[in-house]
Amino acid sequence: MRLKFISNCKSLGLPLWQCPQFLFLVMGVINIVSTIFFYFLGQRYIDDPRIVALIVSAISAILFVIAYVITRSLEDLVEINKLKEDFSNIVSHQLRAPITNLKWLLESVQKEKEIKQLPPSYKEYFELIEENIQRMDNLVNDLVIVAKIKNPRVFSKHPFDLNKIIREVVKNFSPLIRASNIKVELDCNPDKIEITQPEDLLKTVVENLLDNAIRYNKPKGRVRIITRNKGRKKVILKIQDTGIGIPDKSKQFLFQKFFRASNAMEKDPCGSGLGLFIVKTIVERLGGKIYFSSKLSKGTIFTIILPKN
Amino acid sequence: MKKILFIEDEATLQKTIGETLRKEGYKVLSALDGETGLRLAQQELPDLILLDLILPKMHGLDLLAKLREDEKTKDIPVIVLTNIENPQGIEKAVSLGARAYLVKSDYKLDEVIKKIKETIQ
Repeated sequence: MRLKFISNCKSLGLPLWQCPQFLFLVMGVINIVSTIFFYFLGQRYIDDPRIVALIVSAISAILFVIAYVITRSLEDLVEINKLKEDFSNIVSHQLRAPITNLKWLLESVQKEKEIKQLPPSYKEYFELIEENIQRMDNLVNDLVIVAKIKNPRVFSKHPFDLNKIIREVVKNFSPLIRASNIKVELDCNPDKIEITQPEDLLKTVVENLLDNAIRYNKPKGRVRIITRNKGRKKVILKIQDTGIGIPDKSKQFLFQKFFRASNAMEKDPCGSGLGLFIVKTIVERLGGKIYFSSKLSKGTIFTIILPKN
Repeated sequence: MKKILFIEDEATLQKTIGETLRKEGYKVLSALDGETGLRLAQQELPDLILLDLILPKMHGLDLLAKLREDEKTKDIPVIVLTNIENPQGIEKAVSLGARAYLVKSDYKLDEVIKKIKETIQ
């Protein structure tokens, strides 16, 4: 087993002397070294058992202090986790509420007769307001997912049919598919692929990739979703589009938080730049891998290889 | 005229949805907190209740449970309209007989009104 406690401690945001993993190691080393040391010391030089008892008590006191620091550090970590959950709830409720208010207010204002009589430039202003509300909405929704995937509880698994989930997602996307004039083809073979993974998270992966494949496609473009078994233990999911593609200079940054390729920003200014980061994080947390190949103006293929269990 | 009770602490939403429903020909009763909502539901026996979950004075799910315990209000259809998206909340609301659980940010105003109309019929 590789000891990665230094990087683990860094990722927890704790100094080494407060990091439970490091302190457990220190405790273990002190315990073993002192036992061996005093065994030989007692055998050769110390005749009085009271001195041995005194030294053992001193070592116990040191170990007690370390154990106390470990307990406090664990309490801090629990507290930090709770703060993260609270933040996620605040984001999901308190930030979403005013955005929904704005969205619905704008929708009801646009229905008013007087608004329809305003000069065309006003229509453009309303479209800009709508676009910016949509941007905020997308960002908040993606931040909620980012916060969610940090919580280990959402990774609870159960068996489900991957192809059924894909069909459901495609059905939910049908208004966007129709509005974008895109043809979506399913190539799922065999018809049923049962996997044991967190269903909601897999749905989020498919939704994000399909959303990109439609949004960054060309009019009358095509999206093809392919699923196959890879041996008995893995499954392959491919989402292929005939869209705008990814510029070569953007490829290395594609999965970074908030990164957006220049042609993607031109095509759709409302994206948050979190979608592919979310996809990669989920796939890797589930023990899978994600690859892509892309040609500018020709299209992109995302390939995910995922363990079935 | 059918009566809808809208229990929601956001005044802006009370105005937006309330006005839209009034234009559609419904009588809309408003409550800005859970206790007032429960009292109005028991007094007015509306044809539908539109219920937010995070409410002052009484949580929406507690309110829903109280409505189901009361013989007079137990059959009133309830639509939960919230921004809380956790599976436990959805499960609890459905087990208490909510007809629909709508996450506000996922819907357009038109879609919410359509759902209300379908449920009240």
